[in-house]
Amino acid sequence: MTPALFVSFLRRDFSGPFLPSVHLTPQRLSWSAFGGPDQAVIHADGQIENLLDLTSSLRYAVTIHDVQNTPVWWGFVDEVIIFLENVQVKVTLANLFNRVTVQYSFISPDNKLADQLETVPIINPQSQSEFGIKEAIIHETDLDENFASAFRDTFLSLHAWPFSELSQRSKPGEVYAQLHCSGWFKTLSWRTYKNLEGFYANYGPGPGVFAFGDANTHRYVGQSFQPGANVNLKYVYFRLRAEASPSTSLTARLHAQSSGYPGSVLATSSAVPASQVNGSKYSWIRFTLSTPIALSAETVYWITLNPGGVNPSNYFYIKTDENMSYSQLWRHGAYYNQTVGAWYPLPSETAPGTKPDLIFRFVCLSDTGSQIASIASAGDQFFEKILGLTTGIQTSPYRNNSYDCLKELEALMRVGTANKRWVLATVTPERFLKFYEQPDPDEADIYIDSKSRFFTKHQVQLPSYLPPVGRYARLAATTRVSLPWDRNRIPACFIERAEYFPDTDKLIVAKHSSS
Amino acid sequence: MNQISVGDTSSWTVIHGASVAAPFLRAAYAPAPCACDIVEDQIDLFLDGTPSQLTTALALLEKTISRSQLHDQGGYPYFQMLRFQLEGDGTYFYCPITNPYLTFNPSGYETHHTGSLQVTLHFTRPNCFDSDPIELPLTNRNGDDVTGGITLFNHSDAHAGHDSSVLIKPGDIDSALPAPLRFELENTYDTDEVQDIFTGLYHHPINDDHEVFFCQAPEFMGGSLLYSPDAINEYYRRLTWAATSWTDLGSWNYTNAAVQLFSGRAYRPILHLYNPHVYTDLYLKIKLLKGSLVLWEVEAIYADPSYQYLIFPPVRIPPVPLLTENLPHHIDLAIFAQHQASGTHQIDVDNLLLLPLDTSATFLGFFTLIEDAVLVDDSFYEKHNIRYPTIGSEAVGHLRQGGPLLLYPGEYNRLFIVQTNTSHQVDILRTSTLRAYYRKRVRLL
Repeated sequence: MTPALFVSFLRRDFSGPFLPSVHLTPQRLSWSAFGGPDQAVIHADGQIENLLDLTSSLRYAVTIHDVQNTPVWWGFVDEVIIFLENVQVKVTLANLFNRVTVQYSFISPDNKLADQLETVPIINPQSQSEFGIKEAIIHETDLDENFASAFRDTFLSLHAWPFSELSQRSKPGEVYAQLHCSGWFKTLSWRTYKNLEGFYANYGPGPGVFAFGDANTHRYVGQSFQPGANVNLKYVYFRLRAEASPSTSLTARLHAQSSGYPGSVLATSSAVPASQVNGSKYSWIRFTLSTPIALSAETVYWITLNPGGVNPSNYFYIKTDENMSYSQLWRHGAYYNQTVGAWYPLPSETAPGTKPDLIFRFVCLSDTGSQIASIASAGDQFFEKILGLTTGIQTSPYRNNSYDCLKELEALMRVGTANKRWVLATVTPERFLKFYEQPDPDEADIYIDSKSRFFTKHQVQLPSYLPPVGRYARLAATTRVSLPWDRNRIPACFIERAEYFPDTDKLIVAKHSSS
Repeated sequence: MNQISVGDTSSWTVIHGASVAAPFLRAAYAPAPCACDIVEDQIDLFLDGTPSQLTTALALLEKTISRSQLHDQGGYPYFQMLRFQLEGDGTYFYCPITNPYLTFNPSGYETHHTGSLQVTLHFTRPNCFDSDPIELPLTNRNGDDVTGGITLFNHSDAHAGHDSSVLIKPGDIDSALPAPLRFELENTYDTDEVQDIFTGLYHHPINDDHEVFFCQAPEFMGGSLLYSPDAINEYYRRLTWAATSWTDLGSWNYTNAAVQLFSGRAYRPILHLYNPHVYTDLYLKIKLLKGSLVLWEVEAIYADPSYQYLIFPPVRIPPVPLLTENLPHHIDLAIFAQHQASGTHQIDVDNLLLLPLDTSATFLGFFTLIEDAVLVDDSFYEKHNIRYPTIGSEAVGHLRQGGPLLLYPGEYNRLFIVQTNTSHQVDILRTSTLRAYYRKRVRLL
């Protein structure tokens, strides 16, 4: 006897139920350790008119529960297919977009790449109000501004509402409908993620170089910048070359700003021996702060280089940018004249009187757990709460690839934690998005017997429709496998994904499609 | 056939033969022929009575079906079974049934109101029939052919009564097929409670001895032999080494005759340490050697310092099937160790048990077996529990790994039991009492 499962709907704003006049039978349910409820297919029988009414259920909230009213699967209606006698009609959210931007390259008259531009986003507020925000960033080349804007407007007009497809069935068949549902985690792919904080750089192009450490008049050199958010500075890079053979050690120093120039020293990097600086070519030299230093949003800081002494024969050159390409206005490079005891703007050969920048990279780090929380918050439209974690892994939070939030999250989840385990995610029936660390494989707490039944370590059998996704399982059918002793021989099996077929009560454990 | 009944141990309905009551008249049963373990089968039932009696009988059969389904889902405690008795006052044989359903003969709706009905009960069953449990006489250093409970220690050595296994003699198992075992292990040790229990059954046509399974410290070739009254057999081996690469610590030798007794079956080596070691990066492995040639090498295990015993992956002895035209070659079972940190390292080896895995079960305790509590494992019902005789109650306290424990008829069977406490120690002076039962198992009635 297969267990009975029941389907219920809530309207798009979760304000009340939707009661379709059809008979609904779940056909296939799946779950993933990377997001919880993943996919569901629900079969619908009924009169044609009532089946057609199901097309209005797109993005309705779906919950499938068992006879004890325990939620089994939950998500939203992503696609509706109505099978009529000879025809099938499909309406889907797959190609719905109600916020559109075009990123394009502009071609100059001499056919050289002139600029990389982005249109202002355009939205359809009615569609957003119905379905939530679904964002498209379209990449095109060889456009001008008017072309890109018109292209964007037409695209939005054609995609702001659900897409429908009509097709013929291969042979006449019974009349029914299928609801294809997706888990709420998937909605994180509806919005793109950008974070321009945490990585500050100027790659020029130049021209310009500046000698320092050769005289007291060129004692130190530095660059100002201003974070837009609270970040933690870890690495500083400059392009340097050695003149002759300096024997000193260089350090980078973080300063507060005072009267428009470097003020008090807030932190000093580990020393870099001058021997690491190439004498014939400019190369990127990295300076590391032993612990990341917290920087406050909207505060101007300076990073300076201390050559470790003054030597008129053995000193350093640093690459500068007399074109002043650094995107932050009012931020610039400077050098310290110890003889005078004052800082001055870097000199410019090509545009005397201006304030060149240095060529630099300043890299900030943050715990990937906080990045996960930030990205999930940016993509959040339907979650009641987001529960994060601390991973102990520090990486740069900078993102500027126009990837969607889901893609960014999945990448970070695979990076894992300091314990060398993945970050997993699930969505609860209350739509709480929860990120958590993959369990310890040595603490496998689920067992499977020869009849493919899952048990807890307390020998309590789990229903097939409540699979232990995101947990480690070991065989109970044999004494040939015993942890912790056999963890090298037959490690515990991680249940990454499971698919359940209610009509046969069969559960299939599978690997996640992207792993 | 004297009688056929359907139901469970709480109530039986006779559907054929002696004591059959209206409307049940008779049953026709021809067990489906099958070489597989699970059979799809059916039994025809002939009913004769008033329409009301027929309706009541059908409801009773439907109740059996419903109870079977509920049992599958954990909602009813008893297997639904068919029970057969070949002759009056003879042995009952049982087979549990699953997925049952009824079909009716095509004219059933017409004959129902005239007082007769033929229905067919379809079901799935194991391809065997089992009798009621029969207590087994048990033999070890604490008694010969003991029923009612024999004493076990948690190790075996030359001292009086120190035995952690029991022998079941060939003449005490009357069964056509390997027979399911039920054992009742009572914790009689008042010092400490039991956490995990490892069991394994060995069978052999002529071997009634157990010494070959226990490798003691004096016979180990390597290290230093040290005396302690607290060690198994009063001696343990201190093995020391300094290399950071894999190092041969020594071996036990198995003679040709001993290797023959292992019969090419699988065993789990359980190494008991006299003292727990202190290393957090110690790995050990076992190799079967023929002189310097490696016949078999198992994966290394991490020697967790919080355990005073180590369990290695199973080894087959000999590792590859032989023609058996001669005695098997003698074998050395060698222990190799790797400790990545430099310096001198040592482990104190008390003994090694080769736990047979012919049929075996491991009970991982999620709560402990207190004194006087009894672990009951019934391979017929595929269930186990902890029984608390003083309170008169039961609960499941272990996660069971392994299949049914089966006794091989016509052979010596030996049941080995290893018990650990909550500190991951095989406390060797632990005592317990064991009772065992089997069910006669036949393929054909």
